[in-house]
Amino acid sequence: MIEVKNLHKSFPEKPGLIDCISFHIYPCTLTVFTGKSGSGKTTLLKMIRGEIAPDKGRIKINNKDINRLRKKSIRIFRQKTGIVYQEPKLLNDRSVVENIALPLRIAGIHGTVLRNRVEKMLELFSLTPFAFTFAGKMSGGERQKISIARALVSSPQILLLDEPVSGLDPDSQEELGTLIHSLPTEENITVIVATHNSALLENLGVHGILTLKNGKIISKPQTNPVQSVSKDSEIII
Amino acid sequence: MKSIIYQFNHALQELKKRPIANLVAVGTVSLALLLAGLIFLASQVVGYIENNWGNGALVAVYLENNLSQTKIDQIKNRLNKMEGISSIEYISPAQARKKLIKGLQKDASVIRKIENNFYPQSLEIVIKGEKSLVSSTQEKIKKLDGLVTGITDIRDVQKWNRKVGNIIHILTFIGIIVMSIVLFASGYVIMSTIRLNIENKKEEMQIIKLMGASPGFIKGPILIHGIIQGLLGAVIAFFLLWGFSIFIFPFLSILVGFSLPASGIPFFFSYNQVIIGLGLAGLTGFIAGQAALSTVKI
Repeated sequence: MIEVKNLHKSFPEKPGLIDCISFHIYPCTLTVFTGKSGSGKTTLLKMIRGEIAPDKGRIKINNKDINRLRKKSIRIFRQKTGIVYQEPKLLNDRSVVENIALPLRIAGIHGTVLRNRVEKMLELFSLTPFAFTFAGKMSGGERQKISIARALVSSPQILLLDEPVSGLDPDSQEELGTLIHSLPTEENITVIVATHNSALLENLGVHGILTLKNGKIISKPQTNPVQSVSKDSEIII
Repeated sequence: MKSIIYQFNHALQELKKRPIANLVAVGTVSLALLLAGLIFLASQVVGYIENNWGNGALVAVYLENNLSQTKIDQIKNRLNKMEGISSIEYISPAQARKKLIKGLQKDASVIRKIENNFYPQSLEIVIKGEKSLVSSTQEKIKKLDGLVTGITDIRDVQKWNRKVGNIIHILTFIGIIVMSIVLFASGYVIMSTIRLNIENKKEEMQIIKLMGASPGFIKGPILIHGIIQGLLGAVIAFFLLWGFSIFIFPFLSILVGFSLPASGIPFFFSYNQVIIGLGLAGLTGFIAGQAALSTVKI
C-alpha cells in the first residue's frame, strides 16, 4: 500500500505547491491524479518515486518511508517502479531495443529472458519494424510508446505515468487506455496516472480520482481496492 | 559478467561514435608513450653496455726491482688464471718514468732528473666484465699482496664503469621525469576527452540513474572507455617501438660496424615490461576516467 501523510512541497517559484495532503492507494489499483497544469501532479509522482524529497510529511510504501531508504534500497525501489515522463526521457543515440532493454540490463537481466521480454514489448506497442532505429529519430507518439514499453518491460510493481497519451493519435490513445486499465488486474501492477486529459479518463475506468487544486486534494481515491489484494500483490521494497 | 560485457560493448560504441576525438586522444597518448618508451629503451641499452662492455678496472701490481723474469712470469701466469682478466702489461721502471712525465705534462721538469731506478717495475692488469665480476677480481688481486713474494704493493688505478654509470643515472633520472610527465599528460588528454563525453552524456546518465542504476553501471562504460584509450595508446606505442627495433637496428648496426641484434643488446622490452607498460597505461586511463567523473555532477 502507498500511504501519503501530511505532505508538503514548496518551490521558490511555487510556494505551497503541495500543501498538507494525505491519501493512500491500495496495491493493484488504478488511480488518477488530475488537476490543472502546474497543480503539482508531476511533483507528486516524482515524490512517490523518491526523485524529489518532500519538505514535510511522509510517503510510506509497504510501511517503509521511501525518504529514509538507503541508497541501495532506493535504487532497487526505482527498478521496481516504472515511470513514464511527460517528455519521454529516452537515450536518443541508442536504438529502440536498447532503450526498452535498459531497465532489464540495470536489474542484471540478460540473454534469452531479456530478448523475450523486449520482443514482447516491441510487439505490444507495434515497434518491431523500428527495433534498431535510433530513438532520437522516432516521432513524438512513437517515443511515448517506447517510454511506456521501457517502463513495463521489467514488470514493475508500481507504474507511474505522467501524461502518457500526450502526442499519441486517438486510436493509440484508446489502445493505451485499455492497456493501462488492464494492468492492475492482469499484471498485478499498481498504476498511478497523472493527467488532465479528460478523454483518457473516460477510457480508463479508474478506481479512484485524486484532484489537486491550490496544493490541496479536492477529491480522494476510493478507499477499497476493486479486487481483493493477496499477500503476493503487496508492494515490496 | 554479462553486465561487464555489455558495458565494454557500450564503451566501444562510444569510441566509434566520436572517432576523430578518440583518435586524437589515442594518438597523443601513443606518441607520449612512444617518447617515454624510447628513453626507457635507451637507458636499457646503456645499462646493458655498462654491465657487459663498459665495466672495467685497471689494477697496478708493483714488483720488487730486482725480481727475476721467471718470477715475474709466474706472477703473470697466476694472475692470468683469474676470471675477467683482459690483459696484463709489464711496465719497466723506464716506461713508468716516461708515463709519469707524460702525465705531469708541464710540471714534469720536477721529476725529469730522477733516475729510472727510482721507479718500481709493475704489472698493469685490465679487468673487464660484469660489474660484480670486476669488483670480485679486483679484491682477489688485492689479496695477493703479502701472500706472493716479489709483490710490494697493489693499487687500483682506474675504474671506468662509473663514467657509464653516471650516464645511466642521468638517463634513469630523465626517464623517470619524462615518464611521469608523459603519464600525467596522457591522463590529462584522456580525462579531457572523457569529460567532453560525459558533458554530452550527462542527461543520458541522469536518466539511467533515475531508472535505479548503480554507480558502477553508470560509471562503468566511462572507466572502460578510459582504460581502452590508455591501452590502445600503449599498444600503438609498443608496436611503433617494435617496428623501430626491427627496422632501425639494422641501419644502426651498419653505422657502429657490427650486428647489434647479434650482440645480445636488449633492443625491445621483455614480456614482463610490456605487461607492466600496458598495465600502467590502463591504470592511467582508469584514473583519468575517475578524475573526469569527479569533475561532473551527475
